[in-house]
Amino acid sequence: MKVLKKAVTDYRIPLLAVVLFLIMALLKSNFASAYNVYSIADSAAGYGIAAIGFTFILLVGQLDISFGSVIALTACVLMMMLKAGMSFALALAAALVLGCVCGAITGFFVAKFRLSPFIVTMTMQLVYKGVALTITNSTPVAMQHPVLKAIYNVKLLNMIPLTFLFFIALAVLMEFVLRRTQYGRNLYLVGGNINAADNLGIKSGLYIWSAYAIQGLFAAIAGVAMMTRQFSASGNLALQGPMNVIPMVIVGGTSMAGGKGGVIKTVWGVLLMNIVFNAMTMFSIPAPLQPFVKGLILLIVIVSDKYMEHRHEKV
Amino acid sequence: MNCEAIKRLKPQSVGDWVKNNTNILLMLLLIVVGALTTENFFSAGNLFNVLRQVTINGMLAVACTMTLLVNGFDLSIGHTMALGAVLCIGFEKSTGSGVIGILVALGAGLLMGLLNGFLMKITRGGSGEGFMITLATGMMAQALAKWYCDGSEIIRMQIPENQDWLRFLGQGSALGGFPVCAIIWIVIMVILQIVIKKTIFGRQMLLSGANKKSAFLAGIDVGKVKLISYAVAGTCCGIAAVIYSARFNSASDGAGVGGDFNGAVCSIIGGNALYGGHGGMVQVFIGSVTFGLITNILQLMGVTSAVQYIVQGAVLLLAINLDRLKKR
Repeated sequence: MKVLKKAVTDYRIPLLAVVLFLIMALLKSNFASAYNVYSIADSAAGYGIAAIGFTFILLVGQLDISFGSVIALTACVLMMMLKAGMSFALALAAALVLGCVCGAITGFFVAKFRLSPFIVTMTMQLVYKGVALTITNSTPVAMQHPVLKAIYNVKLLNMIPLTFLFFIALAVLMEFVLRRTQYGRNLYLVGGNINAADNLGIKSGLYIWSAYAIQGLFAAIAGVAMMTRQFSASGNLALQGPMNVIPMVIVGGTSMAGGKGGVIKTVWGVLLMNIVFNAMTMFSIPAPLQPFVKGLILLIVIVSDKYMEHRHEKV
Repeated sequence: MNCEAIKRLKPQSVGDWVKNNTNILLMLLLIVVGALTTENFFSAGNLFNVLRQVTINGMLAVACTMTLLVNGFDLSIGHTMALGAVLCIGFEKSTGSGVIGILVALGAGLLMGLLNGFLMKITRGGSGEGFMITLATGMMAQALAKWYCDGSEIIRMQIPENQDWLRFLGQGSALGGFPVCAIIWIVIMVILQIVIKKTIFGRQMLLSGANKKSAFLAGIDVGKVKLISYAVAGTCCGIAAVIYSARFNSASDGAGVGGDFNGAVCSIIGGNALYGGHGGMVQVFIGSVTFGLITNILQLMGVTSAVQYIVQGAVLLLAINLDRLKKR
């Protein structure tokens, strides 16, 4: 009984993901087919990697909706450099550094000027999108680069793509950073109580800044991961990124108030939400209504999270 | 009140005046730039044209300001407008009556506003919660609009031009060439300005925006004030939707993309506080005209829309920095 209770309270989301998967597999015979598992894992990898970075942002109690545009910008730069005939390693390095710089610029305004993260990231989202559209001349950049194709062709057991394995590996690595290093512990402290962190002599501004830089880096990795399956980038890539990623992270159990959560939790949130999205397609919910369901999930997640946080306050 | 009186007695230095009136200075600067770069800038035709162009963004800025004043935020205004616009045109088409179309659009806006306000009330939210909640409701509104118009553009039915009074609302002019849509916008701003500055409800709004805890202790039902402000904001989006459909004669689910950002920019560069408590419709007017002039000048200079994004972003960053400077 005790074990059951612990399982329900601590492992709610993993249980829900597994149960939902089993139910769907019973209802639709082709849900558990190798091809469908592959497509779930494949779609989970791109936004999942971005979700790892977003977990860091939420852990320090901030918010970022500009990473969708960072994904677009870095993917555009990667594809343009590949198209210009540069080596893959150079283009990859440029994309990752650019992502990190974009995140650092956003973080600079938030951490150093202490401006509202909502307005800053909303603005930077527009700016990065503008830069991406300007450098690509508002046309998609497509290229079937051999290295990207090689990554695309690797499939474990014919159903797990390489990018998904990479996503899991990154998640484990970042969970280790959060749990076992001083940096990670301080990150939790800054998010949990910024005044206490300041009083303890932790440079909280620097931690917030670093979280934005990490988010930018992971957005760039996500951009590269997306390129390994669609081989084409444009300024409007990942326009709905924040709307897809934010519910994944919060459903996983990372609190919007900061200081609570973890990357492994995010992984389960990513899996659960991707199973839900896949199920929506399986049950042929009309395409225009799918964003409605996504928005509804986002709304329920936010309102319940905030309600639980503030329910004892009078106003 | 006392503090206010002391402030008034203190002689104001030029530096203070500049710091408190950056919005007016920015507008004057842009008018000078416009006058230097454009021929016939001060002709009535050009000025009315600028006014006509800023009306929709200005209406959205009114909506955004109503939520900013109570320390909220509304990101759904653009998509609410898109939903209202497709419903307005669709219902006018199916019933043949423009009145029903307008009522449906206003009703859709009101419902969206009530939903946002209700969610803000139960989460006891500030601007952060408002941002996230309206991000989600905006997404839902856009999805509904897309579902209704089936992902394609929906075009108004053909009416002989002399009977088409709805079109007159968006494209016509009255009182010696003054655009009708701008008159509607200005009348609504005047009414709301009076409500904000001269009524008890307006004072309750400002107080609950500035400090919700002391407002609560003073006996103000903060949740209700928020709910009403959001409902007014939603209705303003409905009005913007009517003007949109009357002006462009067509609408699609993408009509509101970027509208949230434009509304927020107009409101904030006009000088409304980001975290509530002070501001009003005068600031909205200044901000909307400033933003309209920036867009206008950029277009005349032949700048592509992608670069315009960058410039608009930079302007907003500048504006929030100024807002912070004022608070210090």
